[in-house]
Formats: sequence, C-alpha cells, structure tokens
Amino acid sequence: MSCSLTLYKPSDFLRKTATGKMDLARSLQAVHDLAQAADFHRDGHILIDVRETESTITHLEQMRLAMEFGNYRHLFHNKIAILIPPTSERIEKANLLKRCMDAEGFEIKVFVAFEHVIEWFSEVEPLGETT
Amino acid sequence: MPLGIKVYQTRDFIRKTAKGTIDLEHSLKVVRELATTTSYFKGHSILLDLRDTEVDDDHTDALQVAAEFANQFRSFKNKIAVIVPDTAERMAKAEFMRTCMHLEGFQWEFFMAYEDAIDWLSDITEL
Repeated sequence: MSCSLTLYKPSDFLRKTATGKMDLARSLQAVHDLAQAADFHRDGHILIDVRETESTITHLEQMRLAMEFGNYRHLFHNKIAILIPPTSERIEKANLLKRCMDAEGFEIKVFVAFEHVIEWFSEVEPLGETT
Repeated sequence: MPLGIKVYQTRDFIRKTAKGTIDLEHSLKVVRELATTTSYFKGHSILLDLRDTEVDDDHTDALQVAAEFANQFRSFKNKIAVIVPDTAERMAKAEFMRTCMHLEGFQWEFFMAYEDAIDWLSDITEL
C-alpha cells in the first residue's frame, strides 16, 4: 500500500448550480445574480456548476455573455471555475467563453470534475509519501 | 428573492490518499501517522481517500483500527470523512467502521463521491 499526505487550505467560494436548458436570458440572469453575490462576498471564489444543463447558447451569444461578465468586472475579484459536462461540444463552448473572459481580465478555468475545482481553490501543500 | 447561490466555507483539511491493498498493519500505521500530523495541524479536518484501495480485512480488524483511533486521537473533535469505492462490499465495511467510530465518539462519515465529502466538511449557507 502506498500513501500520500497533503494539506488543503480551501478558500471560501460561492456556488451557483443550474439545471435544465440554459438559454441566453437565463445565463444573463445568472451573471447578474453572481455579480450581486460576488459584490457581497468579495473574498470568495466562484463556482458555476452547469453539469446538469443543456446549453442552447450559440457562439455569438457566448461572446455576449462574456461581455455581460465584463460589465461587472469590478465586482469579481477572485477565481471563477466553470464546471461542465465532459462532452466535446460543451468543452468547446466553455473554452470560447474562457477565451473571451480571459480577454476581459478574469481569472477563469473550465473543469469537468468537482475535485479539480477544489484543488484550484485551495492552497495545496504535499506533506510526504509513504509505502 | 433567493439567488440560488450557496456560500461554501470549508475548514482546512489533511488528505490521506492510499493506493493498493489495505491490511491491519498498514491501517494502524496510517492512524499513528495521522495522529502525529493532526497534532501539528490542530483544527484541521481529515479526508481519507481510499477509492484506489482494496481491503482483505474482517470486522475484527475494523474494531482494532477504531480502537487505535480512539487511543491516538483522544482530543480530536473535528470531522473525519472517508471516500470508499462504490461497491456493495466496501459500503458494508464502511458502515461497520462508521458504527465503531461513532461508538468511540468520532464525527466520522463515509462517502462514495469526493463532492459529497467536501459538502459534509463545509459550512454551506444559502443566499
């Protein structure tokens, strides 16, 4: 048996979970809600969990969504993680949103596993391995 | 109006990840190592990730491991979350271990999904 020991210091985070069909109107509303919450909880990272959604948003609408985030740029101070279903279509769409938001100055990453989000939101310090 | 947003506040935790076959000797060693580590990092919860392990122990071993925890973690008040493989056999063993640990007074819970373990280790507030 081999073992590893690791210390995790997770930062607080806000989690917005959506289910069902996500169109542009719902997505814009989610941005507004998140902006409101992010302004109130300035120290927290943000997790947008859309694993249980179907996206009907076009590429053009993705850019519109990134612009809407950009309108609230001053309210978002920390990391934004987007958790998506592991399909090539959703990964492609999410990466487009990421590129647009990178350009707006956001620190954003796309994930398909919750575990990796927590890793990104945490200070992780390996303490050693044993056998 | 509710925003459908939750705030997660997760206590710092020590994660022990094991791989391979777990036997009694190794389990007791792990308990002692964890006890030493938690003495340095007070206030931390513990996450035991056993998803990549196999066990060949019986219920007597579980009792001994629980007794070792009780012996080594006398003043430990934080949560211990264990993630196990999603099989009926491992769940049955985990349930027995949970019973032993609860009898010893520990906040001990097992999960099949990492996400559920983090939920349990977190204070979650709905906005």
